[in-house]
Amino acid sequence: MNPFELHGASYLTFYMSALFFGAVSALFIRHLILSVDRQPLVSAEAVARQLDPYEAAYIEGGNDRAFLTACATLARHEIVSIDRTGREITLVPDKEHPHLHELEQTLVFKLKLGPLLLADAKKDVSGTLATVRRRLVDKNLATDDSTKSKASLMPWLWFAAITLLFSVPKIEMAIAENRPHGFLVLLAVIAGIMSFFFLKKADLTNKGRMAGLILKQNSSALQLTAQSNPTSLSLRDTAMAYGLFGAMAVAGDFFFADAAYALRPVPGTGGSGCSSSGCGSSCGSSCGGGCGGGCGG
Amino acid sequence: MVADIKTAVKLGIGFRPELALMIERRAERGALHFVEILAEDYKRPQDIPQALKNLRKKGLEIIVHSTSLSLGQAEQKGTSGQKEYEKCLRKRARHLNEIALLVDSPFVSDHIAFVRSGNLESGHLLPVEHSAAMQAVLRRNIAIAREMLQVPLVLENIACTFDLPGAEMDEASFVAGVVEENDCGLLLDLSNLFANAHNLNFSAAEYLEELPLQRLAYVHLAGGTFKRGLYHDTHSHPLQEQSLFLLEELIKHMPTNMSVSRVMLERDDRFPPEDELNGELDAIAAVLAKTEVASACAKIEAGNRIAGQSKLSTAAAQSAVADVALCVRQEELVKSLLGMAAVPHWLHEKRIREAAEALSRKRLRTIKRAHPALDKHLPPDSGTGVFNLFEVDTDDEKRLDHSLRLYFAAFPSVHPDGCYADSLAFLKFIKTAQKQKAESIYASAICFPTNEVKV
Repeated sequence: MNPFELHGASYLTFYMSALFFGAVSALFIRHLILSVDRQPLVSAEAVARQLDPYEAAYIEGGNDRAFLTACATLARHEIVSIDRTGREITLVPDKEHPHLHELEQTLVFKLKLGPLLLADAKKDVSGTLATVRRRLVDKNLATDDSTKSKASLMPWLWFAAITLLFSVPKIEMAIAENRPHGFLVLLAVIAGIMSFFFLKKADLTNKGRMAGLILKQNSSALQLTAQSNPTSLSLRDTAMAYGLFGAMAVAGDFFFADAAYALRPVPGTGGSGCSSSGCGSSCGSSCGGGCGGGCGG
Repeated sequence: MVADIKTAVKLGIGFRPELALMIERRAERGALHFVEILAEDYKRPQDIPQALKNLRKKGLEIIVHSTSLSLGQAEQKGTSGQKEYEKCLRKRARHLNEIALLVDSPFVSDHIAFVRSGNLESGHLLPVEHSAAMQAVLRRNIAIAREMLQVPLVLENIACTFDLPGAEMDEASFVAGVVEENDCGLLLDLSNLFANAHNLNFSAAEYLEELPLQRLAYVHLAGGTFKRGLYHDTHSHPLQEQSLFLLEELIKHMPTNMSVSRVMLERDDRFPPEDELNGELDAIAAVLAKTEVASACAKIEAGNRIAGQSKLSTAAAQSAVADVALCVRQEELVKSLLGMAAVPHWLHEKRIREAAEALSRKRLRTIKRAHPALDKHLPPDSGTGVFNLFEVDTDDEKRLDHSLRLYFAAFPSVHPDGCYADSLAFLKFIKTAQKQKAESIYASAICFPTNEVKV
């Protein structure tokens, strides 16, 4: 049967079925690409047991999570201090810091030269963050550049091809035969927009995602202790808790949340000094609204 | 790190979230064989944390313990109080059973004690009179609890800083009688035994001789501290040498071809560094390793399982009439410990006052631990309201302690739903206190809906 011989609602039904098939098969292609395992004999569970806190943090939330974990861990152990409002991180003087992870070491080393804005500090340790990622690539937990682009482009191309293959010729035919084609155009446009979903970056392999899940489940004891007895945690345990569970991991502190706040981009500094988000909130809380012209005297 | 001492006896520890990581690490080394959980910590089956499930997967045994059955609670027969108590006991025992089945606990344990009288909740395990009347009360209550249990019941001796007058027998005979008569297993808390031997001046060795050690299911050890000549079994201080010495004594007293099967450490507060706690467990293991252990563990297990299945019929036990005087005396004791009434003449006033103070401190600590950010909820000391009744320190911690004491005065009974509910009730109290005059709070103490107490 030639599908192009279908017309009206019948063709639209066929087109939607084709799009559905295209989406499912695109996801399957992505899954296949991310499932390629260079070390199939090493299970995700075995590899999860060997992850260091910053590798775990990267798996949970990429570079940002790993960097924030380092800041919060060092702050929790009073090696650095984080100024939420000034968005700065400062080394606490005369504080010994043995047994630091290489990422923590790099951060401490950079801070020896003076306080840094969190965003600048992150740039300064980007080399070490890249090393963490490289190790994950070696363990087949994170995607290398080639796999990353394949996992984005191939499903996208496949879905886009199906979208176009069954829409463009039919629209041309409809125009030639002077048939209505508005709904088909609309569906094709929607499918075209949806196809960008498949361009989503794939940072982790399937094994990496699985290792993250296993590690989180196996770290339930750490989570319990971090929430109830955080003072008993070593530097490494603290880092693992922040890395896996983020801001709410450790009871009674806001180091991670402060670092996350300080890392956010500084609101734009326009001529009036009042960007929409920055000034609005500060004036709103301190003197009940009224931005511009000070705080109402 | 010191190499772990291998012993045939199973070594365990009380599972607390604060110790979860330490427990997991020790279990991974194979130096821990079981954990004990408190049924009251897990209101619903889904509250069991993943960490416990992981321990189970690693082959650790999980034993379910309880502190709330109040098996020694005397209620006047035929009264609404008795019906209420039985309903509550059934509910708690059913919950205990549910948790035990969920974690595959070989048995469940509770204490030979009472924790509440009427609707007054003491928040602590209180001693029962060593009399035949009390044995009858226990028999009836144990029978009711067993109706709900599909696993054997094991009973524990408690610690006490004061003695109750009118005892018809010594503690050891009483405990032995209760355990034998009800066909239960025995959980021997050696630190409680040491505390009682020290505080009430009797010989721990003679006590051990009287116990039916063939029924021994497991052993508790915990730290404590000496205060004003009394030993307090706090579970928040290091393990004392005396408790270890008693463990050696116990092993010597075990019947031929039988051995202690499980020994565990309890720690509930002021959690020390991992190494310190591991040191205490290693010390216990060292004592156990010194002694020859036979392979009698399985026999004890089987014995307990059989014991649990031979239930007394409730109807038979119902014939035991609760002594009215016993019930009145329990109420007087609870009221005096909660500071709601003067210490009755038949009790040792000084010791009861000390015990009352210890209970109040314990309640304060547990509330603060259950809700660590409580001080953040205190209103600023603005010059009016409940926080200015007395001279109050500006220090947040002291201000919190002070307001908690005021709360205890208004609500002497511990919240029946536990320490977290107690902390929430305290928050409600301070909100109400902000709205009303402090004096009126005192005059008309607002009570828990299920637990009305007038001060």
